[in-house]
Amino acid sequence: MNKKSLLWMLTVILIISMVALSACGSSDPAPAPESGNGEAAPAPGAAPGARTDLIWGAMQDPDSLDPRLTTSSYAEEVLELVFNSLIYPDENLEMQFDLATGMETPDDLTYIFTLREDVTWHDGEPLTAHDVVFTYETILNEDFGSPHRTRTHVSTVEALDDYTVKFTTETPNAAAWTSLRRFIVPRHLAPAEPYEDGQGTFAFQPVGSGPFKLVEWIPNDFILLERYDDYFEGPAILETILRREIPEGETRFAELLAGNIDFTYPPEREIDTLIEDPDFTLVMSQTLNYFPLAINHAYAGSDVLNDVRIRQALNYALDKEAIVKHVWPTASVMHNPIIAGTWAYDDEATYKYEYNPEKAKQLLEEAGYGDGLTLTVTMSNSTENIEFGELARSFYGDVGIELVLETMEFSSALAKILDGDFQLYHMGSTGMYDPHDFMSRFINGTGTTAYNHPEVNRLVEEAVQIIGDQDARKALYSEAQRIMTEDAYNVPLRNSQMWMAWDADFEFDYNFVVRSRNLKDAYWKQ
Amino acid sequence: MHIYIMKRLLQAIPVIFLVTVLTFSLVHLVPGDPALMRAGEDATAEQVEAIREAMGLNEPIYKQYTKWVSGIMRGDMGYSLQDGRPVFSTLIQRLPATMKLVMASFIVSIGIGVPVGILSAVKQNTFADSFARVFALLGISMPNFWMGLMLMLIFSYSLRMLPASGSGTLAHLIMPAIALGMPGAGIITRLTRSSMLEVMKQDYIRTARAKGLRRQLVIYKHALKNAMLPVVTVIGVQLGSRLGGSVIVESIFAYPGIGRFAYTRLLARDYPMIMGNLFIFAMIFILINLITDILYGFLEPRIRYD
Repeated sequence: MNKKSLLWMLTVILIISMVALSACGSSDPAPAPESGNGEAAPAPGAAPGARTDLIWGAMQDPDSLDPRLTTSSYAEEVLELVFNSLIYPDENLEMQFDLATGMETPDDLTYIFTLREDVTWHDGEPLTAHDVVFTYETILNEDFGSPHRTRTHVSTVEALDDYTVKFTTETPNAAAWTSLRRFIVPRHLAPAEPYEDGQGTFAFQPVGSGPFKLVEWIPNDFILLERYDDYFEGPAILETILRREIPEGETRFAELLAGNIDFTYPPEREIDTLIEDPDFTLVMSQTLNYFPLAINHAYAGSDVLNDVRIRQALNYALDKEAIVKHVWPTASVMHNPIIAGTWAYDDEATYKYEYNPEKAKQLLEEAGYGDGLTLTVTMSNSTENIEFGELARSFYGDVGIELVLETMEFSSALAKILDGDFQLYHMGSTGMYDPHDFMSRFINGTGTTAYNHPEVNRLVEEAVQIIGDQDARKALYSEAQRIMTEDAYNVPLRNSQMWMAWDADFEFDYNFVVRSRNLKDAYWKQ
Repeated sequence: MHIYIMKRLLQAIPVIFLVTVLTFSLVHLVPGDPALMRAGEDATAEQVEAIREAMGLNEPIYKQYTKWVSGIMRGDMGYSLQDGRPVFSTLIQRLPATMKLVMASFIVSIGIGVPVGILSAVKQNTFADSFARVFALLGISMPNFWMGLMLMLIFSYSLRMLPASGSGTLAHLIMPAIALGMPGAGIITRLTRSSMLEVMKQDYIRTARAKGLRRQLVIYKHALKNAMLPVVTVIGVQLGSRLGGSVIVESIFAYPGIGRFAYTRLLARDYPMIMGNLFIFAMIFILINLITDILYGFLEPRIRYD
């Protein structure tokens, strides 16, 4: 083997790989927009000089853009721009009509929606009742595998005509109609069987009816949206939205300050800097997220957590104010699963466990664990969780409870929790538009904590059947809150805040519930 | 030579088979699956089961594996369980960006490592040598996420010279390439230095000097080529790990490479995408090893392939 032929062979290998590479490169559907400074030409008719593009620095990619298949908030913030729903909650958590123009309830089991007749899909086809029926039929079909199935409390859906849809429930259910806020997908494009091979491109190139249409989504890079000019409420002011994925908080912050992105979620420790900076607007907004130190009420192999005294001791032993203030400075302490400030929350009925290590010790003594007790907490391995774990460990150590931290990567922790293979866990729950959405997680032992209290079961099940009388429902939830907190159902911990920052020249009305829907009316002042 | 290459490629078949069996079982054994991820934090067990059924994850694992292998045989890597993207074309689309980053990082590693290593060996035990050795130590020991953030602090935050994230232009490539390439530069500096020192002591170098060749020529023509053997090995090894292992650098600079993509899909338990990725990586590793072995023969004619 001489050198020349060796060299020759290497050259051939190199050339082949180069050709292969450049061929791959050219299969790109469209060249990536130059990230960082994608200034678009202003729209004809827009105020002279004002920008009409927005560069958004997002934390994470959606998992899927088929709205029937995702519950990710990163997906929802995009779906809100691309799709529409029959109804949606506004910033006061009151339902507003979107695709619907009205709703009739001839009896406690029936909901009839009339639809707008001027709505078109981004491909020009009209949006009709048949699309609504298709969407809900696929969601309700068990074989389809939608995560929204058990969160959609209706049993049948049918089109009465092209613009009227009828939903029915089996039993009266006060939480039924508010669950009809799913995004509607086009029957002529969306798949009916998402996991069959080659079901098309809908989950990553969806066609919706919203104010923006999706141009391109390159995973872990960017999602490019373009204004849909025939939007039924009139076109948006922004022409393009480039949502770039920038996972590192400090990078997003640096890019915001450098002006390479206009709108982002900055790291918590930079909030004060941004509030003081006149070049940026920062808005804080309360979320509907509940983070407890949750208790397994059906832990196989040990019944120590079934003793109410031990559960109360777990509550008394933690200085929740100090912990939350230290680890999550923007969050507030919670005392029961219903978010403070929403209609069903009852402050008076809630028993609040103040920090009282002496009381905790005494309760442990009474329960027969004066000599100590070992408990394990399962959670994902985020920095905040580990910090929280260490603090909790030291507070519990003071009263004689040895807390073992079992931290692991998120999906592994989730698997353990859903399998009931834990004593305590720390992870969030989201999405309370109706109090039933939260309270139903604590009845009949079906929730992740397997909490099962006959009186609470009865109250919650009775409350959801009361239609049209919020005060009567509220009274039942108040009683349930009193029982659950006195029974130390969990160690409730915190309700988180969300914050967003953007260029002060950009006019945008942000809050956690309406989220990116309001980008439709957002604009640049100059 | 051709026989050698054929032999090596045939040897690759059982390797690929073992790699896929092992990774397929490992990926499926790790707790958490795509159905769980889809169902979310407050799903019921029954709901997770329904999604699992719809995704086809309830079949016995050997059946899922044979299904996957028969797909590979037909050149079909399947579709993502997460967003339905075709696995092969999605992965291939991401390779060019990663290749660019890896190449640029090697320009940094080799461009700094080899000259500094030579300098350090030629000027052994001088100030330049000590400086080079400290530099190498720093390069190796600085974690690349820290270096990435420091670079960003200086060049994006303070000087506003370079974009802190994204891809597309040469300017986007500079900081990630430095962050990814510096540890390698340190290793290559040390390797070049030690193997140069060793080669410089050989008889043939003394002979070359004795017959009156210029010092420069001896260093670059006679010594360097022979000193490059361990360096080439390290480059081969690093090439593979940098293709997939640049997750941290890609995350800091939001660079759309294949490393971070593989990582996010791993966390999401997107089985077809993970397996496709591992398969392609296994192929690349085998190819790189083959090229490295061929290069040995070029650098060291005593190595024979028969």
